[in-house]
Amino acid sequence: MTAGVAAPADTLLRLCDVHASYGAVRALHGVSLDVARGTVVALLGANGAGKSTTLRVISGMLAPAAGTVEYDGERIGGRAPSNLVRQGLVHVPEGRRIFGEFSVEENLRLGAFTQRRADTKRALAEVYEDFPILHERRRQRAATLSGGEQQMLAIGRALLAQPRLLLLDEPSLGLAPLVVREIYDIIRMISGQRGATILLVEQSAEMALEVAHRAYVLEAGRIVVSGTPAELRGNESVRRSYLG
Amino acid sequence: MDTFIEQVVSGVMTGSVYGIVALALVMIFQSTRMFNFGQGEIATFTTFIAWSLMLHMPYALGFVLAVVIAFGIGAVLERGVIRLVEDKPAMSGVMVGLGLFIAFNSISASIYGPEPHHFEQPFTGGPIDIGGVTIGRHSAYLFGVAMLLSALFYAFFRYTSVGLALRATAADRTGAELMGVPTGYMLMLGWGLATAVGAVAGMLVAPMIVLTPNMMFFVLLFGFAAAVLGGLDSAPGAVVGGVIVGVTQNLVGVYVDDLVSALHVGSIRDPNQYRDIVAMGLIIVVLALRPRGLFGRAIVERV
Repeated sequence: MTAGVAAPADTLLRLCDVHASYGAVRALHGVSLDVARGTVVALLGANGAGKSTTLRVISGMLAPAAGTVEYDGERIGGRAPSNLVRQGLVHVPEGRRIFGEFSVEENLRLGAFTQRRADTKRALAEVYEDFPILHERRRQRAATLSGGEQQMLAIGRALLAQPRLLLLDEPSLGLAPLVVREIYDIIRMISGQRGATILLVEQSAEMALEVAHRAYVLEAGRIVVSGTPAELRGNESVRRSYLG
Repeated sequence: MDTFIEQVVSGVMTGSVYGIVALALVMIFQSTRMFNFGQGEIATFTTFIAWSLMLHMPYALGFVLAVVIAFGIGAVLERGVIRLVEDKPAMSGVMVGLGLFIAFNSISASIYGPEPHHFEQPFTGGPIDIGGVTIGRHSAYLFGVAMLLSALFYAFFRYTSVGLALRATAADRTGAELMGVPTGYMLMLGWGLATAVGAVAGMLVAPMIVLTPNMMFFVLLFGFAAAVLGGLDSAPGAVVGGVIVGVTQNLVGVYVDDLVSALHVGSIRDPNQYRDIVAMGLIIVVLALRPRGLFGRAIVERV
């Protein structure tokens, strides 16, 4: 992975001046960003900056109050998430939303809901190959998995939907450093081998900047800085706020 | 002893009806986490529709058409009525269920009147002899239908992707939506299927008693008890729950009279009144000892 090299500007996702609110509470005040095909883009920022909200708007969980969301050349603002999953836009949300009472395999089968049955069998075998621990625990209730295993399940499940754009919300949250490294190896592999485009939200910027081609920093619902990881590392205020 | 076996067997048969109604309730609970108190009255209404249809066509065709119409009624109700309260507190759902109860009871009564209608027996022929116990053919088939339906439900929820998607919609609607499950359609499907099963129950109950607008009142009550007893999210549990309620009712009905006179505490004018109290008492005891029912999965919230 050659971090820091900008990919060719073939844009898969473009947000243009997106505003969003929860009831009366304004969460986004004009967010604009581009995600180029085949790249990993990191969206950084403190707690409450609007990172998750941005992902929610993209995946259709929250309709934007103003502005446009363009995915693969089409305006998608306000479309239902289930509809967008069929277009390959897959969101691993905050808190992972694993179905704890379902078995590991049932969770994975749900991930493949939009796919044809014949394709699913092969895709499931591939995910089991990439995540042997999920195969080992396939009959267990998902709630019994450790945090890291649950994150793997969430990512593996998303892969079964054959994502073209994968939205990952804080994949490292609550995980031990060693496990975080493992998860990031997986993210690298997804980007490299599968060629999926990834928009990654993180509070801990260090790991995210290692895999990202480009990064944006969100503060109080606005993008304040953007650039390559090298540029961000060179930015004094970014270093002070987000990098240890 | 013969009486005992006969009462158990006939309790199993009655219990099968409760089981089928319980299946319909479980179906709705599995897909929407809600109870439909109007289930029985909607079933009665669709049974009346079947009755009307069967005046003009053979039983089998009327049966199938009624099931299809019931599916449509359920789906339309979900879309038109239930969806208005789906994000509201649970009590709104309870009120809507009661509203459906009253509405469909009134619709049946206003169209068909209070007088009993004769509903055709689908399974004709003499009684069946099983190990010295004779049971009516209708009852025997009823038991078969209950077993078959519960097996189908079980397989549907467990092995098909649509069944899995329905369960996912109930467990976490947003999560299911993010898996690409069109949850709006799933809710309609869940209500449609439940109403269709309710219609089957209604058409099987009607020949045993008579078809009146209030026919399903007690059936729903005990079906509800069966569903709770079975664990609310288990199709086999619903049928087993139904059988337990049915058998308990029967045994109490027969033996409470003997018991009371043996204890010399007076006599009972109508022992049948006691069987319902005891059946309900049993449910309270089970729930006190095992809140998730006999077959329900533990509800573990992981935050």
